Amino acid sequence: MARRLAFWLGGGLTSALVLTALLGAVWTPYPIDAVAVVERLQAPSPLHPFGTDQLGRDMLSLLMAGAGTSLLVAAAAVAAGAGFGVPLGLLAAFRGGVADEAVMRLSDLALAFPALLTAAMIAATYGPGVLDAVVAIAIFNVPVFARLARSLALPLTGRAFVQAGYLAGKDALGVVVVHVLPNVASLLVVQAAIQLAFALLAEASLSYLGLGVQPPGASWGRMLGEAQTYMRLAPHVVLFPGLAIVLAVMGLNLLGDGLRDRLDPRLWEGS
Amino acid sequence: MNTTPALVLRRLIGLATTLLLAAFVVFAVLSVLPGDPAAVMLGVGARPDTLAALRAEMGLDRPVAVRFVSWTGGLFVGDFGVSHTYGVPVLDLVLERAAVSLPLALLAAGGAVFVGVPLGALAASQRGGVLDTVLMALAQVGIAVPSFWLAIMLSLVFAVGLDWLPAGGFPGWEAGVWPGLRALFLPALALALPQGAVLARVARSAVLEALHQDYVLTARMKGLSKGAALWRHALPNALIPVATVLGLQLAFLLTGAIVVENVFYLPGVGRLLFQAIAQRDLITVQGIVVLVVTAVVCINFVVDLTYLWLDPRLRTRGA
Amino acid sequence: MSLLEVRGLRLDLPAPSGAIRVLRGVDLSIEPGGSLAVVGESGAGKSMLALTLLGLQPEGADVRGSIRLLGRECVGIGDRAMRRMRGGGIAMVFQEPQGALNPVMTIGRQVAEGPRRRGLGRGAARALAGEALARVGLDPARYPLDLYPHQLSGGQRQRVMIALCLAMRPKLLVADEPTTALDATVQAGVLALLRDLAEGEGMGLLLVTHDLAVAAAMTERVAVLYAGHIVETGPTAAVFARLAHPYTRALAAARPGLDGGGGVPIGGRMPSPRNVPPGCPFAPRCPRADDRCRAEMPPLAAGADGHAVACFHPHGRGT
Repeated sequence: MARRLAFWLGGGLTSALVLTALLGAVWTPYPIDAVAVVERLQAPSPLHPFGTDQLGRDMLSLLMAGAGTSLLVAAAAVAAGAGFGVPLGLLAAFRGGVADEAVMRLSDLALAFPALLTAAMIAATYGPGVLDAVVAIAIFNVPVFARLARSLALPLTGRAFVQAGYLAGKDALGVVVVHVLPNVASLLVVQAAIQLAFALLAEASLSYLGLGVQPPGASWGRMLGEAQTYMRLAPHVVLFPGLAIVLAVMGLNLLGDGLRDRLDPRLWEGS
Repeated sequence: MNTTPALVLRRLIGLATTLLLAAFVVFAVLSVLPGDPAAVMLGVGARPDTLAALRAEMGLDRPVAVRFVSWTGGLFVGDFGVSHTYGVPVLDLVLERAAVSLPLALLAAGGAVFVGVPLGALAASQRGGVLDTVLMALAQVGIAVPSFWLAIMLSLVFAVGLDWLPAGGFPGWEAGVWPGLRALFLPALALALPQGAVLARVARSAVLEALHQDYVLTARMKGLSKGAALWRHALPNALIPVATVLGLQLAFLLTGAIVVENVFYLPGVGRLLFQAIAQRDLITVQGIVVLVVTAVVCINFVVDLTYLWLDPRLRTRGA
Repeated sequence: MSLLEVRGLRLDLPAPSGAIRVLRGVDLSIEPGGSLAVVGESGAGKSMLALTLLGLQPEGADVRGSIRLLGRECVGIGDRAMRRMRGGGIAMVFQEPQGALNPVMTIGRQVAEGPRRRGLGRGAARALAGEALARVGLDPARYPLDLYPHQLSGGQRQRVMIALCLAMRPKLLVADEPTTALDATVQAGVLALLRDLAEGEGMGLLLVTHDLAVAAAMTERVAVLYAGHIVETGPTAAVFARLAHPYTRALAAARPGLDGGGGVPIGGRMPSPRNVPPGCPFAPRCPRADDRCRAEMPPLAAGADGHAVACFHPHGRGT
């Protein structure tokens, strides 16, 4: 019962996040670059439900615009991570030998670089930017998906339907695409939801540090980084962006957990 | 048969390979890709003779392969180069700042374990009860909280509002252990709570899994109470998955510490890293990245060894 | 005074679709040093009966009736009081030695843990563990106490499990299908060991098995359990002289080699404990059943030789 509720809560929060991001892309109550210093640091009011920031911009508008940025960065990073990681993992599982060893070594290497360090290196070389964040988070995601895809595909390599595919004259790629991917796809999707939550957190941290989204782009993390100095004067400037991050991440986590419970019959007993 | 020394040796070789590859990647990104690190440091509009002088000073007039070998060779003897902004060896700079970052990460890790594991085990022992539901709901929120935001909120409440603890800065260990710990308490808490939430979830499911095993029944058959069976038999088995997650978390805490240092203006490795980035002090960035990556890889190695200690099945096993 | 005296034992497991009635009024007794085999198909409630005797039935199970162990009532006394009975009073060998031994604890510590709980010092308990292991054929000279379970074969692990019980000097040893999970070649050895130890130590033995032949060879008395009822019981010699209950006969016929049968499977299935038909639970599968059988549960009626059958139409009595 509680699990069901959690699943629907996760779905609801995630849908709200996506809808807000879509809406924020085409319309916000106020323009997000409408600087009005006289109206700065206003507490929440009917005119500005979440108050205004240190430059007098409407917080609600910034939060709506930030939803899109955060989601886009996170989704791009996870998509890139899965796009490189899943083929590598399948390759390792089906080729074995040197290919397997190479993929596992590379994934060890990539895991040794936390996203923050990668972003710092790229920022030091090319200057900070949103692409730094995407690349850095993606690099950390590649081994996660490679290892998962490998471990999911490995038990399938000897299974009858895969062998039958070979016998039917399909080449290895055909067998993987037709027979293996559909079998591992569902758990990969679950992992993607959970990685998306991690990516949102990572994007927020990087943007907070100034390594991610740059002005004039709106981002929850960057809002926090810029508003921190003013938290004593107006706590709402640090409260709302943080709450937005918590709700978005929690929504994705709950959705991922819920999907996993539904897909994995072993977890059903006693629920 | 694989025996423990052979296994350890294998892991050591893996560790060395990973470190060497990592050093290569760091070198490639920071010393080769920018084209000319000296030009990056001086920025546009630098005078050609200044540039040439800096290039010679940095040894950039030598071929790339030679530079890589000499830099990597230096790493082995602790020579990470000299910071261009501080004029001090990079290793000395980092070690000085590590006196803040390392205790912070360790305090946070300890806090996460001492909060997360017992609460997870408690939730498992009351499975389905009110306490279990409440704890797991809290954990669900906890894992979604970014530690840097939690740090901001904690400093807002306990430092700015209640004035119980310092809002930032670090007095230095020479001012005494207690003032130092006071300065690190809120940052460590901000790091520990989200990680503790993750550990609580892992510990709960690991203990639940272990409690279903027959050896717990065997323990109770011997006359052990439920609590003793959980503590002496289920928990040691449940620690194996917990150790996996903790290893990943330690690496995460190390970089998390870098972020949270920024909230509390702590003079740690993180602040050094950002100053170096801002000042385009590439050799310092390069040194910090290599040291942190080394720390992460070594932590993973120690976690692997911990497995061998926790799980005797891994010590001897068919080849 | 009987070693074990079970009267009218009922066990219901709670379930969303209504209680599952696992045991429905079981009577058993074992004299000091005596032995009894409980025989039945899987699902008859044998394992649950064994666990209930130790007070280790699943959480939330509803137990009624009486279990007197060494003259003391064990139903409804709570886990704390029951703990004192476990180990020294009653111990149990589980079906799967793989799961019943803790994989991360040495066999020596696992065997010594019971005596340690009873206040024996570390050295004395360890010595006792060595003795117990030697008695089950695992001489510490060849099988050191600091081996882990995964370093032993299945049969050796089950011997460790027996030693673990033995070290606590129980008055009654319950063995739940102790050889089912083992290779056929080592089954006979483990069974012989159990019988010899029970006789040598003067321990009572309650053997749970699905195999009538094992029961015939191992114990003084047998009880046949079907769908939570004892349907036939008595001294082994008397029961095997004339298998009276149609179910016992079917069970014997299902096993190749005994009773001249070639392995005739019993038609139909045991009624689900969720959905109990009135009358004799075997009636739906019984060739002899009539309307009375389907309406009314036959009482367990004993003959002069102590052989009791719960059947209106038993074999070998004028039929």
